[in-house]
Amino acid sequence: MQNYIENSIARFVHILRHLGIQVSILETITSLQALALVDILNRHHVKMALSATMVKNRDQQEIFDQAFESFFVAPEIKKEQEQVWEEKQAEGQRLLEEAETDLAYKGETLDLTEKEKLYYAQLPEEEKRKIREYLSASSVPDDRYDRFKPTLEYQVRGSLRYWKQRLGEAEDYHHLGDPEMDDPVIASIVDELSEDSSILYEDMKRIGERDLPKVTNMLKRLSRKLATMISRRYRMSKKAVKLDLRRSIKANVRYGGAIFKLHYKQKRIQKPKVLLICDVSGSMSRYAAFVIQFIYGLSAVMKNIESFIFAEELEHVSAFFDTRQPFEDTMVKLIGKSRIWGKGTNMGNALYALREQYPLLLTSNTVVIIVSDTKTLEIDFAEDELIKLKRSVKDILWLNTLPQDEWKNVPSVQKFKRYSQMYECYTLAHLERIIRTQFLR
Amino acid sequence: MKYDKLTSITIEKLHQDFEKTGYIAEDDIIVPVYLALRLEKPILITGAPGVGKTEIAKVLASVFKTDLIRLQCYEGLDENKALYEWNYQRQLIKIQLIKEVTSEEMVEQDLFSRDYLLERPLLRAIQAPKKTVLLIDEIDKTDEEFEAFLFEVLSDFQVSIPELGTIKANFIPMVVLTNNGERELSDGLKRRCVYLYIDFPSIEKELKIIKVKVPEVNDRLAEDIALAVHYMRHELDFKKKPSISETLDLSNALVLFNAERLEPEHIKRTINLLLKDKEDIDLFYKELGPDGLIEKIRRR
Ligand SMILES: Nc1ncnc2c1ncn2[C@@H]1O[C@H](COP(=O)(O)OP(=O)(O)O)[C@@H](O)[C@H]1O
Ligand SMILES: [Mg+2]
Repeated sequence: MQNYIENSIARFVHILRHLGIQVSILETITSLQALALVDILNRHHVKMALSATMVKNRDQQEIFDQAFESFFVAPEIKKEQEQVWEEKQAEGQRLLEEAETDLAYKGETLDLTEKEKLYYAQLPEEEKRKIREYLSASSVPDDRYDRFKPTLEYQVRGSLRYWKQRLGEAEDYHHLGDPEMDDPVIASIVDELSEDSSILYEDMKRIGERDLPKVTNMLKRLSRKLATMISRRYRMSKKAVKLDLRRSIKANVRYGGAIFKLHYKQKRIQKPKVLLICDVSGSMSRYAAFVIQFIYGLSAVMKNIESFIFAEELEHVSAFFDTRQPFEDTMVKLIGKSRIWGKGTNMGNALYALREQYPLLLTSNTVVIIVSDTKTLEIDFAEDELIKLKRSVKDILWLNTLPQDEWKNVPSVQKFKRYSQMYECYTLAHLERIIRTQFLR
Repeated sequence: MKYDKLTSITIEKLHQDFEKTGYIAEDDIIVPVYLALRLEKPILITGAPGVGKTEIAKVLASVFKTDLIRLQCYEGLDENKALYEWNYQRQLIKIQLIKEVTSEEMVEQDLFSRDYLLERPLLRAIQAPKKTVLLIDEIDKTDEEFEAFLFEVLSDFQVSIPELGTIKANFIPMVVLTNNGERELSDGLKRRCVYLYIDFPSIEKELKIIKVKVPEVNDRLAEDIALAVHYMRHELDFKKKPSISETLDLSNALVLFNAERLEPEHIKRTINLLLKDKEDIDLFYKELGPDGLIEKIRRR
């Protein structure tokens, strides 16, 4: 038993260290002494004992709490973690193989780095297809030009770089085959928690100016994931399309050969429409940065997205996010031009306006994402409208910035929860969890 | 409750004793305190002003029926004020008195004896004839240098005074350090301590505190107060959020007003008890106001 405990603690300390919490040998010993003083079967006491002896400040506390919850779990869950990790490893391997099959020229794999291949494999299906089709269309039988393969490699690399700039980093498979990480439980927890944890777990309303760029990047990455997941999950039938290579090449000479504007002879893919409705009323004003970032991030990766903000009234804001402008400019313009920013909330009004003025956006292929704390005037009116909305669209996902432990006391949450899939969402970690749990299974 | 040895403490007993002194605490606070006592380590309590850090030291002194020795930290605090100092005035007088009759060495030996030693809190705690509670309050107000000195003292509880030799503690005191978090403390000090962070209380906890500390307040009023303070803390970005001390001040004032429930008028009259900063008061009126606040808590 003692051995087992010591072993567990050692592994836990190992995890903490990977997450940036240094626990010295002496502190580890103290923590074991502390454990001997509490009821080891009382999970809460065990947690308190470890945190009292290992944690040094508030930031660490949050990371510690997460790590503890992930590590000290029932064996079944531990099994599951191991499985998830192994699946992720397998997924990484699969992605790599997929990329190698796709990115070939006359049956020969292009010479790209592992990172580039993985990046390719995680691109939205549509972009991958463009690259694939470009490659296959290039494999004409009569090229005698033996430098053609390097040229293709150069082009693919350029286009991957282009997407990286636009979309941000992809899922990291950096532990792929890392011998340091041979313990699947440790590896999976570290992997799960090791982002930039402090920002990940920071309440979005508290994120300061200084951290905005980091947040933007993370949100971009998360939005990208969300976009892929949504289209994967809600995608409609797909019809073959044919690439017009001649036109594409002509058009792309201008961009130095990187493939980013392809021409199709016919285009018929039914992707889900996404309708983003964000609350920017007074009670949400501190989440303003988060909300705009979120719209910005999603708009960058989804073409068929329509964005609205609302407070007392509804406002269509897609136009602000169309251009490829830096985030700051978008934000300044949006807040400057909008009439409703920071006003009171009337959700019913907003949804009513949506139904009246934009009926074409509400289809059985539309997924609605609402970002709001549910606090609104005329709850019943809002509820009626929500029911109507629910009937005319495919699904409603509700990202609620109100902490979940407050939900039970808030009638509007109780009501609106019935007509949507509601998730607690006031940190990036929440957003990530939603994406992971909601869409991966 | 009598504790002969610290080893007879249990978490349950500590719970009961804290409750008896009127300090409301769940396991989140009790377990770290318990561990600090059992491991004989200082406890470092961090949290916003007014969340009940200092009170824990007082409660411990009362629970263990022992003395509370308090070292209040401030900018510029040094060893002389924390540990010991020679009593120069008395030394000077003595010199005047005995100059004529004794030799110089005799005078010096005599002058640097315990009679002329001014014991400051740390030395008093070390020399105490029983286990005391040593409260080192608001450690973040001092500088790194003092922190390093303190680290030494807390490491072995002995000091050497050149004229007197080494003095070692017979009873290691229960040490409580509090920290408002104004600056990051050194790793060394933090590693030596058991860590406890106290957050603002939940509505339920605050309700209990109001009832214990201001029993004249009726249930509905207490609930109003707890809700209002909670709302203000979490919904407005004050520079200094109202804490438990402010809640209690408000409660006491409302008792004087003979209030049955919390009304906008009360808020108007007591706002400077709740918010100490002029800008915070302005923010309150701009964003919410007394009527707005009452409306919010009534709507729940
Ligand atoms: N858990 C509690 N139970 C009862 N009273 C409390 C509690 N926490 C704080 N108080 C009261 O709040 C006031 C402020 O507490 P104090 O310990 O001085 O705060 P701090 O040292 O954190 O600034 C004191 O009057 C104290 O009695
Ligand atoms: Mg204090």
